[in-house]
Amino acid sequence: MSDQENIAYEYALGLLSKQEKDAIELTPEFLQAVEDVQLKLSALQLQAPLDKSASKQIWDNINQQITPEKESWQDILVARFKTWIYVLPAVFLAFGSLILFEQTSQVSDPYSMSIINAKVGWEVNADIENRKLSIASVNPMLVGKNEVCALWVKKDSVTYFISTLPNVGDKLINLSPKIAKLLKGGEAIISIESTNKPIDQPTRIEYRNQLS
Amino acid sequence: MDKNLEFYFTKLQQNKTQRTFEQVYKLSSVRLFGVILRILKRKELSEDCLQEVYIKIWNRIDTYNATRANMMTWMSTIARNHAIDYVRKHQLPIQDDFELSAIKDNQVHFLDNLEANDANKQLTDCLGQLKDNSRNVVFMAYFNGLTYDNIAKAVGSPVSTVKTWVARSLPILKKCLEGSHV
Repeated sequence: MSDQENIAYEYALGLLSKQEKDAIELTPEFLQAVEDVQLKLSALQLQAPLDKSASKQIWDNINQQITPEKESWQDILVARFKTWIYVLPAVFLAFGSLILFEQTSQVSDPYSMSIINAKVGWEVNADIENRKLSIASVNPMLVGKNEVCALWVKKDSVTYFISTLPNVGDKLINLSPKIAKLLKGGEAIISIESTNKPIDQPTRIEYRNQLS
Repeated sequence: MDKNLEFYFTKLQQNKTQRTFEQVYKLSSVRLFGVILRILKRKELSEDCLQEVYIKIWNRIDTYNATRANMMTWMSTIARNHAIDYVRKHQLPIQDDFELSAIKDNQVHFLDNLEANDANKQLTDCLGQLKDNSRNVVFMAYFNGLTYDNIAKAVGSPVSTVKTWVARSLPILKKCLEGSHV
C-alpha cells in the first residue's frame, strides 16, 4: 500500500485527530480515495447491522423540517384514494357508535409549555405529552468561534443537558421520558460552553427560568 | 426489502415528496440508527443525530451517484460520518465510559452476523487473519468512532504502538474489502 492509500484508510476509519487531519492537503484525488474507502467500509458495516429502532416520533420531527417539491397529480390521487379507503369505514363506525351509545367525549389538549420566550434569542416550547421540544432561533446570543449555547434543565440540585441551541433556523428534539418529566417544575438554564471541552455541566450561565 | 428501498429511493430522486421519503425512512432507519447508536451509544443523542442525518439525506439526494455505491451504502456513510462529527462537534463525554468489554461484545456480534451469511464467509475468514490487537483497533475506530489517542487511552498502550498495529492491519483490511465484493 502506498503512503497515500494508508492515510486515506486512516482518514476514512476516523483514526486521525483534528490536528492530524488539518495537516493533510485535501486534494480532490485524496478526497475521492477517502470516499471510496468509506463506501467500502459502510458496505462492510451493513453486512452486520445492529437492529435497533428509533422512537416513532423521530419521523414526525423530520417530516416537519423538510420542504417537499410539489407532489405529482398521481401521488395526490393515490393518497386521496387511500385516505377514503380508511376514512369511510371509520365514518360509518363512528356514526354507529353515536347511535348506540349517544356519548361524546372531550379530548384534552396535550400539555405544552413555553420554556424560553424570544427575549433571550430563542423560542423554546415543550410538548410534554408527546415529548417534543421545539427550538426556534429568533435572535441568538453572539458567542465566540469555539463556543456554543447549551440548554439545560435543573431539578432537585441535579442538572441535565438537553441540547445545544442553533444559531439559525429551527431544531426539533425528541425528549426522553426522564427529561420530559424533569421539565415540569424544573429550572431551564442557558449557558455558553466551549466546544473544546466536554459539555457536562453549565459553565457560563446566561439565563435561568423557573418552569411551572 | 432492498428492492422496495430501491424503488422508493429512485422515486424520491425523481420527485421529492414527504410521502416517498417516509417510505425510504421506514425501510432504512433501523439500519442507520444502528450505525449511529454504535458510535453515540446513548439512545436520545442517537435519535437527535438520526433526525439530522435524514435531513441531510433529503437535502443531498440529488448528489447520489448510483454508479459509485448502492443507496444504503451511501446513506450509511452519511450516517457514520455525521455521528462522528456529532461526537466531536459537541465534545460529548461518551468516550469516557468506553469499555473494552463493550468492543469485544460488539466484535463477536459483528463476526457472528457475518458468519450467519454464507456469502460473507470469505470476508469473515479474511478478517480472521488480523491479529486480535489490530482487529480491535480497526473495530474501535470504525464502529465506535475512536481516534488513535482515544484507542491508546482505552487499551493503555502508547499511541506509537497503536499506530504500528494499524499499519500492519491496513493491507489485510484492504485485501478483505476488495476481495469480498461487499
